[in-house]
Amino acid sequence: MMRATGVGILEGLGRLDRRWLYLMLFVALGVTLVARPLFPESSSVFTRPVFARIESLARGAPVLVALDYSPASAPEIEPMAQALTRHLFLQGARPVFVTLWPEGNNMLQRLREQVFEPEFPDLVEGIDYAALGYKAGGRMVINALRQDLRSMYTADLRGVPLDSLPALAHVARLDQFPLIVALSGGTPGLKEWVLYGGDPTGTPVAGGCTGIGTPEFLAYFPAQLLGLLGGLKGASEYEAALAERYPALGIPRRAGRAMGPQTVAHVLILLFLVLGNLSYLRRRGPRRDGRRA
Amino acid sequence: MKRLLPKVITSGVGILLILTAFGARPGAGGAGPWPVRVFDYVDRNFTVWFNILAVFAFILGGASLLKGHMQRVMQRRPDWPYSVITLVSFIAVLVIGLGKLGGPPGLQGEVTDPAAWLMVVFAAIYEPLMATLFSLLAFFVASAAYRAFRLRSREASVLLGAAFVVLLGRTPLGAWLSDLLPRGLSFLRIDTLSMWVMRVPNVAGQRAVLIGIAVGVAALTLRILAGRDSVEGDRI
Amino acid sequence: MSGWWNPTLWNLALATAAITAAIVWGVVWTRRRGLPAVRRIAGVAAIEAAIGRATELGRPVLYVAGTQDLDDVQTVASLGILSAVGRLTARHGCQLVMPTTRSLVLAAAREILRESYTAVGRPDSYAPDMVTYISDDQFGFAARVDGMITRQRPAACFLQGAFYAESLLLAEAGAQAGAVQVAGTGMSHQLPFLVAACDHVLIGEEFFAAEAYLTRDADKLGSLRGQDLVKDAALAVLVGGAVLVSAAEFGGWRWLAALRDALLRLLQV
Repeated sequence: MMRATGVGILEGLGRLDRRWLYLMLFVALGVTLVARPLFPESSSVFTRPVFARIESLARGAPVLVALDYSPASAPEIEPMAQALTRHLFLQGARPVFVTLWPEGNNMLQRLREQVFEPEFPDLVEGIDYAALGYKAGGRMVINALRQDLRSMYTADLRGVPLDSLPALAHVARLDQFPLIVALSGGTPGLKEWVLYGGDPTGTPVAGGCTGIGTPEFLAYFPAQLLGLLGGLKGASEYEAALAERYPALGIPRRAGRAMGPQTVAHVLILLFLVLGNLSYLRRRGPRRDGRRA
Repeated sequence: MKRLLPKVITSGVGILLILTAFGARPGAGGAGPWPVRVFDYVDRNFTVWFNILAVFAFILGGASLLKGHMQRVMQRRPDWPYSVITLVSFIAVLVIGLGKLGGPPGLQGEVTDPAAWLMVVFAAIYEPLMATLFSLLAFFVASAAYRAFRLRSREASVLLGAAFVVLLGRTPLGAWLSDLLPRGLSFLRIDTLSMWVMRVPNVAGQRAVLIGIAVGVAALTLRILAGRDSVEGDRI
Repeated sequence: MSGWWNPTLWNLALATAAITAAIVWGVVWTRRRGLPAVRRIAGVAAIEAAIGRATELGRPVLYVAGTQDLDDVQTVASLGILSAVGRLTARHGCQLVMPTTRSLVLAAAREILRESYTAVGRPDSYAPDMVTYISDDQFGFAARVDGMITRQRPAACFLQGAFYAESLLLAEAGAQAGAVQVAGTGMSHQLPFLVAACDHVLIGEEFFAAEAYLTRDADKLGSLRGQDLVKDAALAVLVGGAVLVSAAEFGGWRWLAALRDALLRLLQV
């Protein structure tokens, strides 16, 4: 009787209504989002080259940063955008922000509010960084930047002519940037920066993408892609590396805190897989009369 | 003629775009032979032309949207109140955006100015809605995985094993569990295995799929250029 | 004329010419020798079965031609499949519902379906409202289509084209509604989600070949023969190249090294 009950429970667990799965996931995610545990993190072979490259930048070096994502992918991309921007400013580099997505200007505004103004209040736009903003055209924009920056952008977002910006004093073309950082939530994005920006000009491209895009871009590593921050894990690794490099600064660990819910979600999904398969194997096994089902 | 002319235009423009990809680029100041200048002009402007076409085509799409929902409201079809919400939202955002309400006025006024009402709608309504729908994916992945990943065959078992390794490897838990392994078995570290799965079999499979897709695209493109991608097949 | 072309792209031009020649050869061969034998693709075979099921159940067929515009080749491929699906639904007398994200796709799809229905002698069964425009936004589109699937409960869902994150939202909604789902896409990063949530998936090249399968058009099937030739050549270069580079590395012969360098120059962009 007990054995039959156990078997019945097992089969039931393999045929759960999906709403129970959603409820379990919701509760688990909710608890970890509130508790916000922080796990130790170490850089992978994909994130280390990006960190090393930025560490090696000369003071005042211009770096093209492409913010090609929207609010939908912001939970994954924004933490890496924040970490990378922090690192660039701490190294004294001069990021030049562009975007191929209409929502990119808003993403830049969020970076200003979350990183520039609270953590680097002495930054002067135009001198320490430049915000060129959105241009439509996808790869056409990159093609144009390859030949002449000013053929696409005549002024920054404030309307100040590019020739008046010290941040772009010696930069006329894409290949005059020592580094391109492309953070991408889809298309156009990292792939276009690699194919039309980095590869033809020989400019190193460091990428950041959502977790789901990581396998696609790994094909470009390391020949065409210097390094890749893949999803929340990549962002968390970068934050950890930055925190280790600057221990006194109390580097925010937004992605690191989000790894708690991600870990719990992954473990739960694994549990669902196990339950589903135990039940499936049970149903597929031999019947009590010895015949196969 | 009605069928021939679009095919001729399609073929001609398609061939020009392919030649443009192989064309030289003009020198400083746009100097160069006339084909080079044509290639450069087409390369820089063609996407813009397409975007302009798409904008005008939006009038058709927008009209279809309005017509469909207005009919639903007038005929009181099921769930017609949602159509009222759709219509009101559509018209309200259209007026706010076209009129550049709240932001710098005039035709040259920046529609994405932070003070513009359009950006308020974007930040207060659009962004949370997008984030909400995107977050549905977490739940849908769970239910899809629960339903689909079964040990039906050898290949399915390999797939399930890889899923285990990668799911664990993408979290700090994988590294922590791997720390329990003796030094001699460090090659079995879950985070290392996860990276191997992502970098080797996954990339190999992706590249194979990409090669197949590229060849398929080439064949389809040739059929279009040759005017052979007609909707009239022989038979089904 | 030499100043008209970019000399660094000579190898790409060569590859383009070779691929074109292979595909043209395939078409010519098929015209002379007859239709090639093609392996069965379960997903393509499932399309007609799914439409038949929808007809028996009296429930509609949902067709989504991806979420990208007409300048995406996957959308063009999807519209080719739509033409065949339209003929099937017209022939079976089954309702077809097609939401779109782009206005140009709306216009093209309406024209294609009108021609498909006319071709099988059912022009009166066609209605322009079969194809509706929803939204350019991927999640707005997914939300609306999920609602359509939940309310109308289609018996068959065909998700054919370029998708992004909305693919799983659409596919899972269809799975939960009990629809038979056949997906096809060239977006490799969406394939895992579609494989998990759909009954059949046309992976990459199969998606582009589906129209040839459904129409049994000689030229389209002939181009498949040419595609196979190109893939065989790619495989030979991959395997041969790997062996050559390894042998040159370990063998130390100068002629082998020269051959290796020539191959790498040929493949370098």
